[in-house]
Amino acid sequence: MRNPFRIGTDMYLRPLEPEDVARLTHWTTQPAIRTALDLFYRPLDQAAAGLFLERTKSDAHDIALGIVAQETESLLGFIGLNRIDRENSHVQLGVFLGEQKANGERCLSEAVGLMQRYGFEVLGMNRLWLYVDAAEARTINLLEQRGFVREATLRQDRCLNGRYADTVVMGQVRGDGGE
Amino acid sequence: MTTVGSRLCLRPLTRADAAVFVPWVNDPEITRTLAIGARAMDVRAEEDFIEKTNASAHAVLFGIVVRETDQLIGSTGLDPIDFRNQRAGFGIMIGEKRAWGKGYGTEATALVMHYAFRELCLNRVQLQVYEYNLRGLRVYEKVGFRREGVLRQEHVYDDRFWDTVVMAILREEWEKRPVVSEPGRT
Repeated sequence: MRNPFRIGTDMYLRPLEPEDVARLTHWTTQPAIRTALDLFYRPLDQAAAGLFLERTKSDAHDIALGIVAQETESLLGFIGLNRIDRENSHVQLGVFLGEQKANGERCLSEAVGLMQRYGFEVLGMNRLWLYVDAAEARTINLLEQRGFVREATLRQDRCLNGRYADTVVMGQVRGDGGE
Repeated sequence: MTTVGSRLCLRPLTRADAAVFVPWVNDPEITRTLAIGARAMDVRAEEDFIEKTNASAHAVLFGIVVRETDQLIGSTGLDPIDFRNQRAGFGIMIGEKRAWGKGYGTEATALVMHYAFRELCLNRVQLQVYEYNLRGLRVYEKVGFRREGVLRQEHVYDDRFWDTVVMAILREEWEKRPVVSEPGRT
């Protein structure tokens, strides 16, 4: 393991490194990933991807980490806490899996669990929340198993493949369980 | 550009308007329902806010003016505007307390919706309202906003957590509303 920040059973989280830029640009060329992430609807070259990663590292309101499989040392995706709001004690969870490997979902679930603990116990937040595409039933199910609750459905929130798509807001507050 | 309703008009704000807003944005009775929270604002900060918003391609800010008296009573607008997804966030403040309870919030909100759907051709306008802002909830429902969910313990005010209600109106819902009068432009 290289520079582990939080360690799970099958994966670990580490700070993002310059060499991760190539993976990010590769993933954003995959249609399934590009449509899932609103950020990457524009073409992203390596220089722009590098700037994007640098920004996530230097912003005091953001934390971004790589999800790495312990067995293969391969980067599977990113997870982070964005828009840390100390005044209202909440923070947005952001996550995406670039590699759909056999144990990808297990690693993702572990990564969410590690960030939940980090958000509640280290940052002392009262609430974690995130946006999920309403069609992503597996991700919603995974988050519900982690204690998140569907709080709102934003109707026709995004233009996706020429149609409007709903977005679900999921939240977890201290004391919900699962954190 | 000015949008004109039956009793109100919406006009651009300038730096010269900042001084009118400063007492309002420092008044806890007014800011308790606003996302700006309880931060002290001086004229310079308010001027910068107006200038920055006016310069943004992703926000629109209007002053709310009573036509009969030409009095500036608050502000409203769309921020952020996401043209790719054809949606925007909505906000409003009636700062002049003597103008409360007269239906101005309802009229100003309806004027902005007309601007959002007819002029910007947006598809969705969204807002968040704190659960204790009962007046706001009534106004938005009257204009046609629907409740989409509740963000639990999303907001801290007066030393406790409060829920935030998410509301939105879609273009198709706006088009189907009963129309009393259409605003004009000058």
